[in-house]
Order: sequence, then structure tokens, then C-alpha cells
Amino acid sequence: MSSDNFYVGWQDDMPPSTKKFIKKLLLFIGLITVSIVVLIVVFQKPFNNHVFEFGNTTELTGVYIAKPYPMLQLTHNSAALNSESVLLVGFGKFGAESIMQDIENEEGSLDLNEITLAGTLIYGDGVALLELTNKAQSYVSRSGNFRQPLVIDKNSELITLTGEILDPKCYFGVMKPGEGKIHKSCAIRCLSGGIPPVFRVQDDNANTFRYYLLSGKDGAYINQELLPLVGQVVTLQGIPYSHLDWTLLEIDPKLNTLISGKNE
Amino acid sequence: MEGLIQVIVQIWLIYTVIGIVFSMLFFKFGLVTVDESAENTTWKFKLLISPGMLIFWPLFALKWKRSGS
Amino acid sequence: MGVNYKAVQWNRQKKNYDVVLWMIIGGIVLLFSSLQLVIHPEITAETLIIRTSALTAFVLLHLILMIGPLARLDTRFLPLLYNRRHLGVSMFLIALIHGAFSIIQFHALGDVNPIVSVFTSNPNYQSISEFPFQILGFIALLILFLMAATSHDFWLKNLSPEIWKGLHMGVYLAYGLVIAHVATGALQYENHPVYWGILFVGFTAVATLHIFASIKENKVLTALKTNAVNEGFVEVLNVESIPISGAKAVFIHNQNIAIFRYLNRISAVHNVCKHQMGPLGEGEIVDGCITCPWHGYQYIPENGRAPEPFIEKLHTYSVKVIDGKVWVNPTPKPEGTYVEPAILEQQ
Repeated sequence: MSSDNFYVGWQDDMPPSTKKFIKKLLLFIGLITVSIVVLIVVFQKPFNNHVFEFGNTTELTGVYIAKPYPMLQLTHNSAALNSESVLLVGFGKFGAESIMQDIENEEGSLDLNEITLAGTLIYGDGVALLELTNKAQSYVSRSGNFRQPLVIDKNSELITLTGEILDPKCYFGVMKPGEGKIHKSCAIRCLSGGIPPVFRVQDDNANTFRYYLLSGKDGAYINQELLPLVGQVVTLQGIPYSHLDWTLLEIDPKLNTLISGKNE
Repeated sequence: MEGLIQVIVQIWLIYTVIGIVFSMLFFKFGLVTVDESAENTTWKFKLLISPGMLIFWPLFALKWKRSGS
Repeated sequence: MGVNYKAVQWNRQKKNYDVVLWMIIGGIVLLFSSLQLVIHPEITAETLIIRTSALTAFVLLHLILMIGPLARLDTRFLPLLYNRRHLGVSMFLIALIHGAFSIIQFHALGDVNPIVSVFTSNPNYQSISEFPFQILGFIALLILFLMAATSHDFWLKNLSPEIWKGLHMGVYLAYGLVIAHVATGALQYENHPVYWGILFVGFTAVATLHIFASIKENKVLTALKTNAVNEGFVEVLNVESIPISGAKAVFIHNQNIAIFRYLNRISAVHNVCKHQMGPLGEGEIVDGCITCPWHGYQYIPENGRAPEPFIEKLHTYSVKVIDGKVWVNPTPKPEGTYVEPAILEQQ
């Protein structure tokens, strides 16, 4: 039937019945869209409350510990942090090692010396990191004080733990989520760039976590070997020891790594 | 794998740069000979079709050559 | 097309279309981000941008894919089809924001070129749950770019309608890749059943509509099986079955023919519009011209020619009417050939 309803786009006016239909249709599309948006936000996993003080530079003073990962053992308490030490990381997806190397090329060895560094704080869940945002310019001064080497007791038994290997820079504040599948490639890039690997283990029957810094035997650098295991649930065997307020886990990535099939 | 991807990305980059240079010349001298409907068109029109030119520029190089000979 | 190209051939409907479209886009962005900030105030700006653009593009892609079959099933949906290319280009731009921000966030400032990193950071190609989902999204985005970049009618003409149409069927490949990208990416982390439910309902809606539309089309095509043949003419249908100022499409001897009834006459032309291969037989006669339901391209029924200054031409077919039945000769005349219309007896 030739109808008054036939719609031709270049005509100025839509037939009235078409107009009415389209209005109803748009209302329907709107309702569906609103419900989808609401459902997605409501059923989304909550984010953690970790903080990255982006754009805000903080100076921290402490003893520089170079091995196995660059850290600062704080000698002056920082208001925001409730940790004894901060882990140092570089700008972008890089560790702090090469930056500290550049600084030491200028200033001489800094290991075990009390120094002041400026950077951007990253913290959450009792852990703190400092991003050396301005690279070698992050170095402020040294006080002349230094400390004796840390005494390390490595007489523990081999333990087996299940959890996720992640990059602490993103996880403790820079990205949300900084874990799991979505973030996996980023964590791989970060570890590949030298950010120390952290193993997150969930406590039994609780929504709390323990964190382990991972290294090879005697602090060997094993980031590249860990890349295939990042961002998924894995089981690791290693020997734990205390290092400042961290627990380090020495693992042999070739022998002691078991991948569990399940993804979180 | 990584080497191969790197090479492909490089080739793609070079292809696109040639495409940009070609498009600028083509818009000025060749467009109307290839498609007479493009006569007296605005810069907005050329801007709209330029992203596609970065992909299909060899086709227009061929058309231009044919229309010239 | 016999007139010069314009950047956009604006008219009132297109303007209304774009206003409504961007109101919908703005509405989704506003609602999604304000809900996020209220319910999940810890969210970072980057995550907010990545998720908002992902959701918006995903909703629009479903809308785009449903418009085609809906318009085939019910002509009242045609106004949504008319300016669909602006919908498509808008969707691509939003998907591009998602892609660019994700590549910067997850792959830039590292030890490898970000694009290279998309392909190499996660090498678990053999796994499903650990599959490098970014690659799927990246390829989908390339396909959508190809389509958005060639959406102007300049490309329709210069690539030829057949190649253009083939290229733009790529949207189905892109859609499949996007579904897989979401299923192996975001939903491996945000794994609440509601998320899987939404993905499933969306995919099922798109698939079901396409199945129904193709069933309807096949019914039209297979309705005519045993036809009387006489001197090259084939009996096809009753005059009364053709709506006045409308048409019926028939498929005989591999010819797709639209038979129009107007001013007590019958004419037959090739059922495929020269613009985007729209179904002319689902159109009507407007101002004496065959008018395509998709974008309103017009042709004179007797000779299949678009009115001046346009230059498109359709194949025409000889027709006659005997005892209230239409007979058509399925051998196509050269495009634009005048064919005497069959005159109906005055009633």
C-alpha cells in the first residue's frame, strides 16, 4: 500500500506516525541503555584504596639499600606512610636500578648511606613505594651517616604458596585495577622494565593479603623468567627471609614454579 | 616474533608516510582527473577522504597513471 | 551521482539524527561516569576513560548491527538506517579513544614500542582464558577504521559498490572480534554473571534479528518456483498483490526484479539500488519516481534512470499483464533502456 508513512530521509518532515514510532523507540533504547549502564557499574569489582600522589613530589630521607632491590630504609617518619621502608621504582614502566646507577656515577657509591630522594609516593595496604619521577634529578642530598649491612637469616624451610605475581608500582596505586587479566600486559611490561616482582597471597578465609618480593637465589634478577607467569594464579615454592619490613622469597623459576589452571 | 612485528610496524609507518605525501600531491593535481565529481570540492571534503587515502593510495596512483596516459 | 561531492550533504533529518545520536552518547558518558564516581570513587581517570569509551562504543555497535535487520522486518525503523554512517563513524571515534588510551596506559613508557608490545607482551596464544585479548580489539579497531575512513560516497564510487559493500560487511568480523575481545579480556577480570548475561543477551539479539530478516528475505525469493513460461515471459504474480504506488520483488532466472505499480501501469527494474545496493522493491513511488527505502535515491520507472542531474541507471525488464496476472521477461535490458509499461484496465 502506498502509504503516507513511507520515510524518505531527504524530505524535511517525517511522516507523523513514523515520528511517533521513533520517539517511542528512542525511549525504549534509552531505558535499555540506562539499565545496562547501571548493572555494569553496580556489579563491577570494587577498586582498592591505594594511592598514587600524581603531580605531588615528596622528599624522603633514609638509608639506601641497593640489594636485592633498591630501597630506602626511612630514618624520618613520613606522615602518610606506615611502613619502615619504601621500594624505589623508576618513571614509566622501569625499575629504579639504572637511575640509581646514574646517580652513583655522579655521587659515588650510596649503598648503606643516608640520602634524601624526591619523588612521587605510591602506597596502600601497609606498603610504600617512591617513583623517582625526575630520574637522576630525584637525588637531593646525602647526610654523611651510614649504617652497617643488614643481617639476613636465611635458615627457613622451603614453603609453597599460591597467588598472583604482579608489579607493585601499578598494584599499590598507579593503576586500578593493577592486577588480573586486564592489567596483565602492563604488569609484564613493568617487570620486563625492571620493577621488582611482588607475589600477592590471599590469607585463608579472609580478604587480606600478604606480599612477598621475589628474587632468584641470592637476589638474582629473574624478572624475564617470570613474565609468562604474571597476572594469573600460580603456585610458587621458595625460601622466605625477612628484609626490612618486607618478606623476600627466593625462588628458582625453572624448577619450583607450578601454574595452576584456574584464573582468578 | 618480536622482530617480525617490529618490521611490520616499520613498513606500515613508511607506507603511511608515502601515503601522506602522495595525498597532498594527488589532491592538488590528480583528484579531478580521476573523479570529475571532485571538481570544486571543499577542503573539508578532502579532509574527510584523506584517512582512507592513507590505506588506498596505491589504487589512486594506478588510476591517476591510467588517466594520464 | 552527477553532482559534485560535499563533505556532508546536510539536511534536516541528518541534523536531527546527529543531535539525537550525540545526546545518547553524552547521556551514556554522563550517567556511567557519574555512577562510577559515586559508587567507586577510587577509580582513576584513565580507567574511567577506558571503560566509558568501551561501553559507549559497544552499545553503539549493537545498535548499528540491529538497525539493518530491523529495517528489513519493519519499515518504521528506516529513519534509523538513513544516517547510519554517522552512527558508525561516531562509534569508531569512541572506540579509537578506548584503543588509544588502553595502549598508552598498558603498553607505553616501557622497554618496547607500544604497538609491538600489544602483540608480544602476552604470548599465551594457545590459551583461551589467558589469550592476549588486546590483539583482537586492535584488529577490530583497524577494520572499523577502514570502514569509517571509506564511509563517504566518494569511496562508494571509487572502490565500486561491490567492493565497498564487501569491505563494509567487515563489520561482522569486527563484531566477532570485539565479542571475543570482551570475553577474553574484561570478563576474565570482571567475571560477575551479570556481565556474561549482558554480553549473551546482546549477541543473541543481534543474531536472532539477522536470522529473522534472512528468513523473511528467503520467503520472498523462494515463493516463486513453478511458473508458466510463454515466449520468454514468466508469470510471476497477481496485479492485486502489488500495493498501489508500491512494489513486489521477485527472483526468477537469477534475476532480482522489482515490479512497480503506479498510475495504472506496471514497470519492472533491477531490484538493487545503485547507491548502496538497497532493496528498491521495498521502496515506493514518490513524486512519480521509484524511491529507495534506504537513502531516498530515485529512478524513473519506465527507463530506470535517475532524474537529472543524477546519472545512475538500472536494468529494466519487459512486462505484460494478462487476466490480472503480471508476466515479466527476466532477460535484463541494458541499463537505462526505456520499456513500455503495461497498462492496467481502468476499474
